[in-house]
Amino acid sequence: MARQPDAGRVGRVVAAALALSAALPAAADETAWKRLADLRFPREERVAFAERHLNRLLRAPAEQRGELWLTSDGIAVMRVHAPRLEERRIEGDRLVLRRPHRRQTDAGDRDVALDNGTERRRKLNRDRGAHLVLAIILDVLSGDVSELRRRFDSTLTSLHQSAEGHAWEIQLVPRDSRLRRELVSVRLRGAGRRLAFLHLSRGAKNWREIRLLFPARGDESVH
Amino acid sequence: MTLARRTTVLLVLAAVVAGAATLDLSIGYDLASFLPEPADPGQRLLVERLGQVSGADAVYVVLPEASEAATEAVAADLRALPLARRVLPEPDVLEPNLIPLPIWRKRLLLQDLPAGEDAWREVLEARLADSALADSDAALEMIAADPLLASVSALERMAPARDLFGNGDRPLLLIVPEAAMFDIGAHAELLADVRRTLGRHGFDDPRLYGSGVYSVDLQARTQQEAKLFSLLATVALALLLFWHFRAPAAVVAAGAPMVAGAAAGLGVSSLVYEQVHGIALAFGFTLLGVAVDYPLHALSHRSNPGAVWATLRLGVGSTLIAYSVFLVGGAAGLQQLGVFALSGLTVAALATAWLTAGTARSALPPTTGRAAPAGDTVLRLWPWVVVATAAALPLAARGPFLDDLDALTPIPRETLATDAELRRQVGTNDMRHVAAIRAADLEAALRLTEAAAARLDDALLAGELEAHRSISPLLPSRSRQSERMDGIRQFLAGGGIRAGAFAHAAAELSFGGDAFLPFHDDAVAFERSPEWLSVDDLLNHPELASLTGLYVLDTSAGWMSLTFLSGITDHDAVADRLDGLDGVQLVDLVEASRTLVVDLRNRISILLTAALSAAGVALWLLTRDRRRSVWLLGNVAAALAVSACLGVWLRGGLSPFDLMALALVAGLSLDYGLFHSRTPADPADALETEAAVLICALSSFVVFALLAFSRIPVLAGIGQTVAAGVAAAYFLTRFGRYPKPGT
Repeated sequence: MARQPDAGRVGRVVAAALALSAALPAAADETAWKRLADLRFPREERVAFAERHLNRLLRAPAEQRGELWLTSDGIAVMRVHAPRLEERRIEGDRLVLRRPHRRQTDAGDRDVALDNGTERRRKLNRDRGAHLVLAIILDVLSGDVSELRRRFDSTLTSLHQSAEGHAWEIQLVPRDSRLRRELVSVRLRGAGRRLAFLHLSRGAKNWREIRLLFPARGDESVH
Repeated sequence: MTLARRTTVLLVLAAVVAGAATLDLSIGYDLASFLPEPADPGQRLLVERLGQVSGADAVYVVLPEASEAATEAVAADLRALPLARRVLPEPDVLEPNLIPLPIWRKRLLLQDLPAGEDAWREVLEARLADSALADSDAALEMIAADPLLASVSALERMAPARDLFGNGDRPLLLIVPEAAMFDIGAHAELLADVRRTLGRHGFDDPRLYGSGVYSVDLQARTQQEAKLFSLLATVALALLLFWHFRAPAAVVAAGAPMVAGAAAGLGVSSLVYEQVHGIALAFGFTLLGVAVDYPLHALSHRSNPGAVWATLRLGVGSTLIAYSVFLVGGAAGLQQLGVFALSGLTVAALATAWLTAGTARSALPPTTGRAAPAGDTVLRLWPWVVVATAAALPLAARGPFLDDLDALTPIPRETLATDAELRRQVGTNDMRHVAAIRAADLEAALRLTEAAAARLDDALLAGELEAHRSISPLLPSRSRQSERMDGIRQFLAGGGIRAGAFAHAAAELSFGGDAFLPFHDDAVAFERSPEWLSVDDLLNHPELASLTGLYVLDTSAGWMSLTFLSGITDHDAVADRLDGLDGVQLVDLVEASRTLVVDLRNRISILLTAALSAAGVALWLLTRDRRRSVWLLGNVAAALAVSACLGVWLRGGLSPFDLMALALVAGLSLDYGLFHSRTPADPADALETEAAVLICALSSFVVFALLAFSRIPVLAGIGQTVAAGVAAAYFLTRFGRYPKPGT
């Protein structure tokens, strides 16, 4: 006669299974954050980037190209070379934007060098949708993901093996409903310990993405 | 009627007059009414601006060690205060609803439209970059409606304090008060609210800076010191007078004529003038100090009451003649001072006469003491000659005057240094160098301002100065607005955003065809019904009025526009660039204020010399005694020299305030000299005269010597000046004469 399952044992198995299933996303979550923390850039190492963005004023994505790096004192710098020179420095939670603009004078516009051009400072928390990406870049470059952990849920997906290492994708979704109204999701893609792509979506016709153009392995010289 | 009754009647009358006067009294603070006629454009600018400052200085709140979140929480609460017009830094203005309405509505007149496709591409590239960084709905709306960001740019070019949070490790907030500059009561209320708010956030000892803060602190300290020293002086004086008279009624009576004089001064001033200057009142009371001596002399002479009046009349007459010089001083404030002092002194003298007439003094005990020798008085000339020469030598060597009025400020040096650093940090205008532009009408002034700005741009690019700020970005001349209107018409005629240079550039940069439709629609509407941007648009706007008032002034001689220059490295080169622009003058306000103080001090010195000379002539005419007149004036001069010498030694020089105190010294010295040089009728009269002059000198000395310990430099200076002068005058006149033996 078949032995009837012991109700207590079943209960323990179910409980264990539930505990395991609960633990699994947590484990995946931890791996994602660990992966992100490992993306830390060496200070002063410069990498080229191409940034595209789309918003309701644009009929097609617009692209900007330049280089970015983390300074020795922890400031993330994005210097845009084209189509228009400008420098963005992410200092803590504020953005310093420098442009070698034409100084508007009553006598007409005059060219002024970047160092003496306009300098705007913005607090990143004022315009979250756009500036979050800069904060994320700073956090990723510096390997400090504690703020991201506080505000986002993460999911890590393994992709395939590439020449750079094991390819992966991490999706970040805001926990806070208010933040979710401004930012639908953040996707980061890379291989091994290198970030290659970051996409920030605010909706179908409102997104930004940054592609990092690392030199091929064996050609690690700074741009 | 007894002395006590007469005193009561006098005090009641004085209270009624003073009460009626204060009902009708309006006190002014326009320093210009005390200043001499401006001698150069810089002085003229200073004098005109003094009376027309429309906005108050900001309050700088430094919160050491505060986190940014804490600072922002404080800022949010401060914005709710009713007396705070704005609290900076404010959120970025990339939102149309944060731009003042007149500027937003008429933004198309604030900047030239770019000419050609390349110029438009450059502008739109910048907006493309902006839209990548600030893509909130409000920011995109702003870019769509104002692709030139003309409204933001105009405000940014005018406004200080753009980057407060970003400029280092000092969390700093700026509060722009609602109150006018001289409304110290409103400032005090605001500061109390600010301190309470900061206290609620745990900042119990906040560091506040700004001229409003110093004014309130100074007023509070002055009131505190005035109360303390008034109390001390009253107690000391009461004890002294009680020791002298040994009758409480006499103590009160001695103060009554001065009170009556002050009430009369107030009454006459409020009748004659619509507004009386605060300084005229303050120094009027100082000059009235000499009237305290009148009842002391009258009440002290009990043996032969009538004898004292001949000398008292001489003293009152010569002092009145001396003070009447202020009536022709050439400045409205000095004239008010003269009216107050003359009416006050006259009434004090009359009140003394009535108070001490008849049997009123009979209740007073007789003066006791060692009998003084009576007889003809021999006047020694050498003491005052020696003292005056000894004191004048260092004065001549060092120069007696203090032209740096900053030295008188009670604000600590460290506070002033931090204040300067904060202003530099937030980029508030350097008020020292100004291009003052004058024209008959506003349009001409604005066109000149634009012409000057073009030349200053050249100076800026040549490194001769760091920045210049004028009203031009916010208020272009009508002719420039008209040119821009033509530009809008041409832009629309060329297809606006739908065709031509704009459309090509926008399409090339991936902008949608209708992305800038709000800009286009506004341009069309503006072309159909153009509205010029006027100075009234700005002056009638609560946020723009004080800013506008800083740059343009409607003066009695036409309009004046000011361009503030900062970081001048080559003054002459900048002046050369502005040379040839008729009506434009480069002014150094620090130098102008220094020369203005020098002119003011020279004027007061001349007035005092004239007053002394007038008193000397009056004395000679009244007494027909040349030796006595010379002796009296010599002693006054020696007392003034001693007092001035002490002022130079203690404070580095004499300020205009000290000069006013010297006027009182002259009046008191004359009084002591007159009584010390009179020939007493008998030993009792001699004894009473000695005692009266001693009590007069002691009472003045005690009051002003106490004031010399004030922590307010101006008050301490007045105290030191008068106390030293009184001491010198008493000893010089007391020991500069002796009774002729055998008379």
